[in-house]
Parts: sequence; structure tokens; C-alpha cells
Amino acid sequence: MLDPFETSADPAGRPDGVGKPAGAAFRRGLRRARRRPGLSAAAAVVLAAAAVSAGYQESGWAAPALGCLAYASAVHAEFARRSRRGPPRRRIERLGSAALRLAAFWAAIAAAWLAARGLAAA
Amino acid sequence: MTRRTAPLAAAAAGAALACLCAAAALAGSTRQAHAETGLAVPATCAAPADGAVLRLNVLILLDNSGSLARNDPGLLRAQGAKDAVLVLDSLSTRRAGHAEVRIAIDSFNTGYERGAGWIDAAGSSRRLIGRIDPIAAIPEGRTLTDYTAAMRGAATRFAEAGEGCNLLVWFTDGEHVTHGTAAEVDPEEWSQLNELCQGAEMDRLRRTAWTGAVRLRAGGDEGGSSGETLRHLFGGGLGCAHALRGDVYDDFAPADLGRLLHDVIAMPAEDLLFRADPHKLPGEPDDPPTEPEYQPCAGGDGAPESPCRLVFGLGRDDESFRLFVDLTFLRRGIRNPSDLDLVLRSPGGRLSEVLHGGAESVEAGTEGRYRALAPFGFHSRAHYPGELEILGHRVAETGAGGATGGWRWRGEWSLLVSGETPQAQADARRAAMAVRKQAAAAPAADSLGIDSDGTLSGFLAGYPSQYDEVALHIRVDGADGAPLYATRPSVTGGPVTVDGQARRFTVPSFLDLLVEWDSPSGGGNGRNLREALAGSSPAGGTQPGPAAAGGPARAPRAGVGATAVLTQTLRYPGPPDSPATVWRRDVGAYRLSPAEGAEVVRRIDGHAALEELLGALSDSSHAWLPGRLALGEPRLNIAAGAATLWVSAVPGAVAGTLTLALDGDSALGSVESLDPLRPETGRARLWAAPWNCRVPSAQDHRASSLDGPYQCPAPLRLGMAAPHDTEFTAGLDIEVVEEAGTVDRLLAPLWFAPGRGGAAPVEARLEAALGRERRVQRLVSAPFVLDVPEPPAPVAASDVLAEFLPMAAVLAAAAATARLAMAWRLRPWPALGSADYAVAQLQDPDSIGALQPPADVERGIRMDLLRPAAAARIEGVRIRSRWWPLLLGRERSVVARVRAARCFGPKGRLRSPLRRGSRARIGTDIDRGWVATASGDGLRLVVWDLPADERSAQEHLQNAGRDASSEARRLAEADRPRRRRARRTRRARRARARPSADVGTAPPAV
Repeated sequence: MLDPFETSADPAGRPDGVGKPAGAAFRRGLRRARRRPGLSAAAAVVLAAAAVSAGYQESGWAAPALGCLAYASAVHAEFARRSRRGPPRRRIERLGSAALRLAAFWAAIAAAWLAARGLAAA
Repeated sequence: MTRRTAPLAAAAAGAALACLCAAAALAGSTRQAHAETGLAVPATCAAPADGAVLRLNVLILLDNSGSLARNDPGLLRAQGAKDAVLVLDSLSTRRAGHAEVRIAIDSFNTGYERGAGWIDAAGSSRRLIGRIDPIAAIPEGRTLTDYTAAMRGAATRFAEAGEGCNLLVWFTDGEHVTHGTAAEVDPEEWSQLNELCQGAEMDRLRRTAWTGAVRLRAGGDEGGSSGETLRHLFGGGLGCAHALRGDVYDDFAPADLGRLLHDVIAMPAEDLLFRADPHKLPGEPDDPPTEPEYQPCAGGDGAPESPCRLVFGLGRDDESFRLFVDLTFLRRGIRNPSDLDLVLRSPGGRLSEVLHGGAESVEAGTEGRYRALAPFGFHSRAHYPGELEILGHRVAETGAGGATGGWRWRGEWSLLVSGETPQAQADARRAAMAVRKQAAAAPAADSLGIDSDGTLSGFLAGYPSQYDEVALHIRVDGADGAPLYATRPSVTGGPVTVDGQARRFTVPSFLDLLVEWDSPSGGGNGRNLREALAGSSPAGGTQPGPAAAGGPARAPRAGVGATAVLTQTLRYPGPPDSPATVWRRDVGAYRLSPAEGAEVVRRIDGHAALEELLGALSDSSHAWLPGRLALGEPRLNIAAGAATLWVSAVPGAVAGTLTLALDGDSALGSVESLDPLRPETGRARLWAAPWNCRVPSAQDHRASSLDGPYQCPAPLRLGMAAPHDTEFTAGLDIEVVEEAGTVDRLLAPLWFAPGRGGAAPVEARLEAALGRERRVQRLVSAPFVLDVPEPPAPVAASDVLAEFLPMAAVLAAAAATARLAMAWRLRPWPALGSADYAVAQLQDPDSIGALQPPADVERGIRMDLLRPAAAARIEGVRIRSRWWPLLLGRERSVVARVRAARCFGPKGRLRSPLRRGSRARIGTDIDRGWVATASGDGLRLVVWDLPADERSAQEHLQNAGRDASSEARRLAEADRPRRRRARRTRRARRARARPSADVGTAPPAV
């Protein structure tokens, strides 16, 4: 009977992830993803666009909520950038991250304004 | 020149007429007439002007001297005068309109006595015959015969008659007697005659009168009267200086006196009338033939079985002839021409009907008029029984003039003269004939063709100018030579003008004329020309071509030709109902080229189109523009607030355009609110987008295999705005006009006949017809209801702001939270690799190298330095990571705080007026960090993150001490100005406090 907590090479030659505890790979991937600022930045862009769109469509509080998420994603990108080990990166990354946060913030504001106008018209 | 071979019946005065008849019988065997001068009557008369009436003055002068009692006992002179009056009366009646004959009857003896006249000869017999006997009666007593008085009186008489041809019929016994007797003319009488001959009277008579002197000598020449003086006046003998013109007739029997007088009067008169006859053959001389031109009859004895023959020939160039047959007593001695039978024989031996010496014509009361001579189609006429004319023209060979076939023009013709009785046979042998033939070159059309502008032109060579009625016609033939229309010989309707000496003729716009001529409006059927050009048989088959006459059927050839037909009309003064003889000859032909034929076809099509258009224009019920416009059911688009309406129309004759008439932004139609609570409809609007539709012509619509009305491809689009449910009824004004350029397109293929005003009248009518149908028609749709939501009210900025501010607040809070969370998460410093620390007490900053553990250096371990943390405490030094710089986007800031002492770190110190104690700046992390605390006995240095290696730890400790020393000096230098300011401030404060104490104790000033 195989030891379920055995982490060394599987004598049976099973590939990684087979027979391992459930969700381990997911958590590992999640951790890995949390440390990648690019993903967060992309998510911030998408969420900002979604927020503006929602604002146009007068969808109420969904627009500022999406705006919040977009800004949070941008902040998370900054967090991930700062949390990354290793030597400091280029200055362009810092400027880009700041620009992203600024854009996400104003997109959220715009989406909120649009949504507010729709709500006021309704 | 006088022939006296025949004995004249010498009748004594008062002898019976029977005696004279017997004497005449003796004299009838030879020619009795005698021409004294040989001059014809017309030579003495000027021809009347064209259209003028010939005036003939006939003076009958009777000798009633005493000698007449012996020479004319039977009053032949009176009888002859009466016959002459009758002849003249008849002649004048026959020639009414052509000749005006007047008569005067005078007598002379010793002097000249006027009897009667001048009197119009027509109807004069009743007035004059009764007066002749008294005039001719011999007066009582001895009377002489004075020719001088007679001639002078006659000259005076003619002078009184005025203009005209003068004819003097003089009855005398033939001798001038004033002194002696008739047996001998004494010198005195010759002297009188010579004087007369040299006088002006004789000269005038010679110039203006023709004199026929009838010598009466019933007593013969026994009385010595030889007529010497009479002939002297006519130039006989020694001759008269102004001799009379005319003849002396003295060699006849008394019984022939009437015949003689007839000839004497009729022949000169007829000669004059012949010259004035307007109905001569073309090129025929005005004067009749003279005596030498007559040829006597030859061959045969005049019996019916062997008639005497008068032969003449006709050649190819001979166009016409006139045959003069002389049957007179005066020239031929023919006593009874009416007993003669004359037959004309053609070269082929065909005989004409029998002519009885012209007697039939005279007796029928048609004297001088032409009668058809069957079967040749010739004409004959007889002025009186003594003269006969036969007129022939080769047109008769074509069947014109009632001619029948079986004979030919060219060859030897002969006139056969015969009689039943011996006397008639003798007369037949005396007949003579003169033939005049006219020749003319056959005319031909030269250079016949059509030029570029469609004018047919040519030259007519050999134009028969000698004909009075000549006409040139243009006949249209098919390719087989048969006329397109047998009953329409001329395309121009009338003759074509042949101009000038060049004889050029033109037919302008011939192709146009051709099309017009063939059209129904021009008298044709509109098919023959097209079929001839296409090569099919003419419609109806009324004119079968040569191929249709017999033989195998063959395909008809295509083509049309123009044939020049020359028409010459011959008119003879025959019976009133006698038709004119028309001679038609084809003188040239031109065949239309294929290009010209195609052009004609194009014009035929254009003409047909024009006729169709004109018919449509005349039809008041004809619809030109689209009609019966209708709107379909409205189709609503509630969400868009729009409606569509399909429009249909019945196409007209021409393509039309339907255009929605828009007047700016005005509302169309009417609206009605369905909501009783909100009846206002003022805010409801209905508008339409610009719309137009092209409706094809009915022909194009049928060609597209579509039935029923035409439906426009695009619907009318209506926009609506209404505050609530509203019923709309759209009223749409549709302008119906023809498509642009319709008139030009309709007129382009048309063909307009020249001279009919061209396209302008048709264009005007077409414009008028289209103008009547141009209209603006209002179409009303079925009612439809539009449920239009109320338009959103304008949103106030405050409302938007009221909605926005919470969102913005939430958003700001969320953002701040995110930033705060990020700062809080980034606040811990990373874990150190060593938990060892050291505390060194320095006496001065440079004493670090002299530190000696454990006296001077205390070592310790803080395990929490091995974990990431935001706060730590090492030997009274509290180390903490500040998070708010991270919140502002800066780097982490680690500070150390020491209570009750001043301190500083690698980055210096941190002053804060609000906080008690001192704080030192460590940096962004705590690795390799230290804190120096200033105390009264020196510096206390706390160093952590000491490496495990002692040497390295010592080195790290020394570096930290050195850094602390240098930082302490720097801080001291930095604090020196501040301390000085502080001392000055303290001194100043003490100085201010001291004077204030002195002020309280000082005495007041006096």
C-alpha cells in the first residue's frame, strides 16, 4: 500500500499530481498566479472595460463594483510587483503600475458616473 | 397662167339657170379653178396674237353695171352672194370663239354704192339675204363699169372695218369701161387703171386684203370683154404697180358657182383658222400645205375594187402626222366629195372605217371637230366637204385614244379613195394628199439619283418642249418593276417641275415624301413600301409582278425604285365628252440603295410611331402617367417608432416618378390620442423621410412579366413621436410627374413629314397631355396606433450627483482599503538570517575598536528576528515598520524608538514635535542595522543581524560603530546652529525676565 503522504519519487513512476492530495495543484497555481503582476494588470484592464460598459448600460451598482474590482486588481498588481523577490526591476514597471492604477481608478469613476446617470434617469 | 381650155357657158342676159347647168356639165371634166397669183390667203393676214380672236372682214362686191345684164342674166352674182352669206354664217357659227366674221355687201357701176354692212356674219343670213337682190339689181339708165371707183370704195370699206383679215369677194364681168365699150379698152381707161394701180388705195388693198374675183361671163367673150383689165389689176399683162393679191376665177360652169363660191370663201377662211388653231400637233407648222405639197392620187381607177391610193410612210422617229386631203372644187375640180369613200390602211393591211369625204362630219354638225378614227385611235376632221384632215400620233400604238391592237406604226400607210359612180370615181382620181410628219427624239432622264440630303434629281434630255401639256411624274416601283400602287402613278401627287434650259428636275426630301406617300395619311396603306423593301409581296396582291403572271413562283426581290414618267397630253377639239389623249413614257429609273432603303424603313418606323403617338394624343382616355396610386397597410415598428407604407400604382404610357412632397419639417397626417386621460396630441408628431419611386411604363411593366399594379421597391418610411398611445392617419402628398427626358425620348424615334411643322406641334401636344396628368395626389393611409413610450425626462445634474456620490464614496473607500491593505501587507520586513545582536557602550565615537567583550559588548539573541515582522524590541529599542509610506506609494520605512534618550540610526534620526522621545531611521529593511543611543556617559550602540562568524560579527560591529561615530559627528555638526539658536533664545529669555524684575523695584521717575 502506498503512502499517501510520500512526496519522494513515486516508485511506481506515477506522474506528478496523480494520487496527490486534491487541490494541491490548484493552490500552487493560485499562489503562483498571485505573484504574477501581469495577470492582475490584465484583469484590471478587463474589469475596467467591463465597468465602463456596465456604466453605459445603466446597470446600477454593478458598474462601480466592477470599477472597484478593477482598481483592486491594479493594486494587487502593484502588490505582486513589490512582493516579488529578487533585484528591483526597471523603472518602467513602476511607472506602468502607477499608470494602471490611475487608469483603473478613473475608469471606475467614469463607470460610476455613467451608472449614476442611468440610475438618476430611471 | 390663165387656162381657158373649158368653154364657159355663154349665157345671154336673162338666160335660164338650166342653161348654166348644162354649160357647167361641159366644164366639169377639167379643173375649173384658176389661181391668178398663187398666193395663199394667210400670206395677206397677220396671225392673231395668242388667245386673240381672228377677225375676218368679208366684203362682197357686186358689179351691177349694165353689162351684167348680158353677162349675168340669171343674177348669179346675187345667188353667189347669198351662198357666200350662208357659208360665212355657217363658218362664223362654227368658229364662234375663234373667229369673228363680219360681212358687208356693196355694189358698183359708174360709182361705188354701199349696200349693207358691216354686219356680224353669225346669223346674218336672215338679215342680208333679202337685201342682196336690190343691191345686185342693175340700175336704170346707162351705167359704166368703173374699177377705180370699185377699188377705192373697197379700200375705204376695209379701212372702216378696222383690224383683221380682209377678204374681198368680187363679182364682175371682167372689164373696166368708162369711155368706150367693153370690146376695147381705150388709152384713157388704161390711164385710169394705171393711176389706180399707183394709188394708195390699191396699195392698201394689196397689203390688207385677199381678193377673189369671180368673173361672170355667161355671154362668153363675144362682147369683147376678155377680162384683160381685171387681170391687169391682179398683175397680169403689163402688171399693176400694186397688184391685188388673190385669184381670178373665171373658168367654171354656172352650175358650179355655188361650189366655187364655197371654196372661194371657205378655203381662205379655213386656212386662216388653221393657222390660229391651238390644237396642232407638236412641231406642226401653222400654215396649211401649199399647192405644190399635194401629191395626186395614184394607182387604181377609183373603183371600190381598185381604189386610188395615196401612199405615205411612217418611220421610227416619226411621232405624229397630219394628212391633208384636198377634195375641193377650186383646186381639184371635185364636184361631189361626199360621194367619195376614203379608207386608211395600216402597214399590216388593217383598214380603218370609211370616211365619206368629210360629209359625215359636216352633216353631223361637228364641222371642224376631230372624230376618232377606229381602229387606229387616229382622228379626222372636215371643215367642209372639200377638205379632210387625218391626224395620227404614235401614242395610239400604246392603246391610247380608243385604239385597238393589230396594227403597227412603222411602215407604209395608204389612203384609199374610191367611189361608186363614174363621177365619184373621176373625183376619186382627182384627190390629192399632203402629209406632214413630226419627229422628236425620245426623252430620257439623265443623272437620276438621290443626293446626301435626300433630294431626288435628274436631267430630262430630249424634253418635248413642243407639247403644251407635258408633265413629269415620279412613280414608285418595286424590285420587279411593278408599281407599288397601281392607282397612284405619282409619288408627288402632281407633276414635277422641270426647270430652265438644263431641264433639271428635283424632288426635295424624296425619302420623306416616299414615306409620307405610303402612309395612310398620305393615301397609302402603310405596308406596301415596307414589304417591297423587305422583299415580301405587296399587300393584297393587287399588282402581281411579272413572276406572278406565270411560271414558277420565286421569292420576290427586295428593293424600291423611282421611275420618271413623262406624260404628254394631246387634246383635240372633238366632241365635248371626248377625253384627252395622254401619252406616258418611262424615261428613267433609279433604284434605292440598301442604305437608302434602310433609311426609309427607319422613317417608316418613325412615322408609325408618330401615328401611334398622335392617336394616343387624340385619345382623351389615354393614361400617360402612373395612376390609381394606392397605399398598403401600415407596418409598424413600435420600438423604433416608425411605420412603413408600400405604394402601388398602375403604370402609364410613359415612365413616371412618384415623389413625396415634403414641406420642410411639417407634420404629415393627423393624430388622435387614444388615452382619454391625456387627450393632448400637440406633442404627437408624424414625419416622413424623403421618398421617391420610379414607375416604369406600361410596356416595360408588361415586359417584365408582372401583372397588376406596380409596387414601388422602397416603402414610405414614417417616423412618429407621441407621448402615449396615439392613433395616426398619414396623409401623404405624392407628386406624380413623368420621368426626366421623357418627351425627348418619345420624340427621338419619330419621323415627321416635311412641311407639317416638324416636332414642335407634337411636342406641344405631348407637353400639354403630360401637363394635364401631372398632379399632386394626396394618399390617406389607414389609421394605425403607435404605442410610443414617453420620452425620458431630462436628468438633473443634482440627481446624477446624488447617485454618483455614494458610488464615488464607495469607490474611494474601496480604493483606500485596497491601498491600505496593500500597505499593511507590505509593512513587515523580511526575516533576518541571524537572530544575534550586540549592545556596545562607547565612551567616544572612536573607541569602537577598543571594545572588548564581554565587558564592553553584551551579546544576545532575539528569535523573532528570524520571522518577517513589523515590530521588534531589542534591549529597550523598539523597532517598527511604518505602513503609511507604503500607502503613499513609497518604500517601507523602519524606525527605532528609544524612550528617555536620544538615538539615531544608519539613516539618521527622526524628529517629531508631536512625539516624545527620539526616533532613529533604520532604512527600508532592518538587515545589518543598528541604533545608537546617546546617554550621558557616551553612546550605546545596539547592533543586530550579526553573522554567525565571530570575525564577521566583530567586523560588522566595528563598521556599525564607525558609522555611528561618523553619524554622531554629523548630527553634532548639524545640531550646532540649532544649539546656538537655542542658547541665544535662552539668554534672551533670561534677559527679558530680568528687566521685568527690575522694573518692579525701580523708583518712579520724578
